[in-house]
Amino acid sequence: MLLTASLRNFTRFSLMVILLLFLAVSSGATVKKKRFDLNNVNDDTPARVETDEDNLTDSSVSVGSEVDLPKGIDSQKSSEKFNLMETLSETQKSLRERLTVQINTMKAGENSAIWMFLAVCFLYGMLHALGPGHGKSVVVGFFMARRGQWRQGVALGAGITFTHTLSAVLLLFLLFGIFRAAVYPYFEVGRGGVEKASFILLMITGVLLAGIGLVDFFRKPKADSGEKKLPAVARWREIMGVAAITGLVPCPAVALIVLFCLLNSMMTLALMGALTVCVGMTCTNVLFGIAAVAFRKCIDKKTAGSRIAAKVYAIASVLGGVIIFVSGFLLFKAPFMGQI
Amino acid sequence: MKKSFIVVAVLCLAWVTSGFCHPHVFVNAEVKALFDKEGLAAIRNHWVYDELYSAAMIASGDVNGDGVISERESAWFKDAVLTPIEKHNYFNYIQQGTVFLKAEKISNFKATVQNSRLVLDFDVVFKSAASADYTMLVAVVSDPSNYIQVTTNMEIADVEAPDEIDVEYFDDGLDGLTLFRAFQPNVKGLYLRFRSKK
Repeated sequence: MLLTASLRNFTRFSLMVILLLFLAVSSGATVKKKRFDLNNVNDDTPARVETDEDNLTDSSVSVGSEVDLPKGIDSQKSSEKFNLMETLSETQKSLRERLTVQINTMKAGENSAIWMFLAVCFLYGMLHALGPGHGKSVVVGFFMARRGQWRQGVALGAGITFTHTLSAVLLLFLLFGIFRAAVYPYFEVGRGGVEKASFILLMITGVLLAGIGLVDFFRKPKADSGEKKLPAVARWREIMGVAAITGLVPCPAVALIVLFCLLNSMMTLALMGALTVCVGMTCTNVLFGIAAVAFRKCIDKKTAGSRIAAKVYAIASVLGGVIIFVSGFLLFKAPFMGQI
Repeated sequence: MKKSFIVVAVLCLAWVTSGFCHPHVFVNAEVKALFDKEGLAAIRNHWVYDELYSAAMIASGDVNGDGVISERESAWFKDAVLTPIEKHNYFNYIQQGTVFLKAEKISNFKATVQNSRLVLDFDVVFKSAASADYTMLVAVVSDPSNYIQVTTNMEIADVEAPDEIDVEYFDDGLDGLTLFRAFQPNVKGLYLRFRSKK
């Protein structure tokens, strides 16, 4: 009897302890991964309805009234959307990983990896130049504003990337000679200064091109003889000037590859890598240079001899200048983005 | 032929509209929101840099070249890597209402080298007090200029809170949040809401 009573008491006690433990654990579980309605984050925030079945377990804790989904906004996660810039960035990230693998392989004594290294450098250069900041918009803007020859299109595209690479290699080698392995933070400081100067010069170039276009328009006689003449072709010194201003910014991507090779005592490989990345970037930029010249030739051909020719040339010049100015402004502004 | 030229030219112009920088440094990030009894206390960051950038920075910061970052060397990394992005809130953007919360400071900073990569662990301290009603926040770790591409895996983002605070969270895109319109389209945020149990 006594044993039974003791067992019963023990069972009751155990149940009480379990219940208390359960309550303690329940009250401690204050963090939940679950969806909830968004309201009043700011005026343009779309309200969302809890539709994710995995996370939708308890709707009683939702605050704010449920609102119909605005048209065009669904509850699918944005990771499913295709984004070109993100794809380019991710591919570059992957290529960068491959670059380090190839360099490490060569360091381990497998010299045959050099072909793969150069192939990856070339591809990386091509894709890298597709990103903003490599002068494509400047090439387009320039040949909108100024008539150009095919070879000038090629020269401007190639000139920008050549200067962009050369400035990085020269600055890095110069600083490496002074600071040795601890060079990169100094490179970044130098690059930041050059970058600002370059973008300001770009804005000035844009204003100048637009201004020249307007001056030409108002200076030309409106008589028949004036309207039938095409504007002068861009001068080579203009091409070289624009290429120098735009490409002046040392390319950090090239600098990092060169430095990685230098840190692994591979000087020749560093230079070969930089050259190959430059060739890759040139392919991309030249494509845009040719397309820009073609576009301008198309404008000239369509309007030559017509009564509106002078106006079209003036508009093209101003538009080209504006493109270059805006391009320089956006690039100048980029480092300030997100400052609080 | 003419048409193809025009198409290519239009493509050129399409590129002009993009004002973002392209990435030169890559970071894989993981985050954890930390709460104390008062409310939001910090965002814990775990950043792993790409090997090229890591090599460049380790060569500068690991002064004795032993591959291990001492406390003194760690301070150099904090100064070299995080101080330049202080004005950018250390790329930790937390929307509360219609503004971003300003980061107060960095705490628990530690730099290490793992598999030839520079790894930074640090807490970005914020203050957002809890009340009886829910407070909603959206946390994003990203460089809006994309010069440094911070890829934050928000799906594994975590939250740590004391018993006195109720927290709910989920990860999703930033569609429609005007404060984040300058960010890359596929950046994800950590949506949090919390309240005091008292």
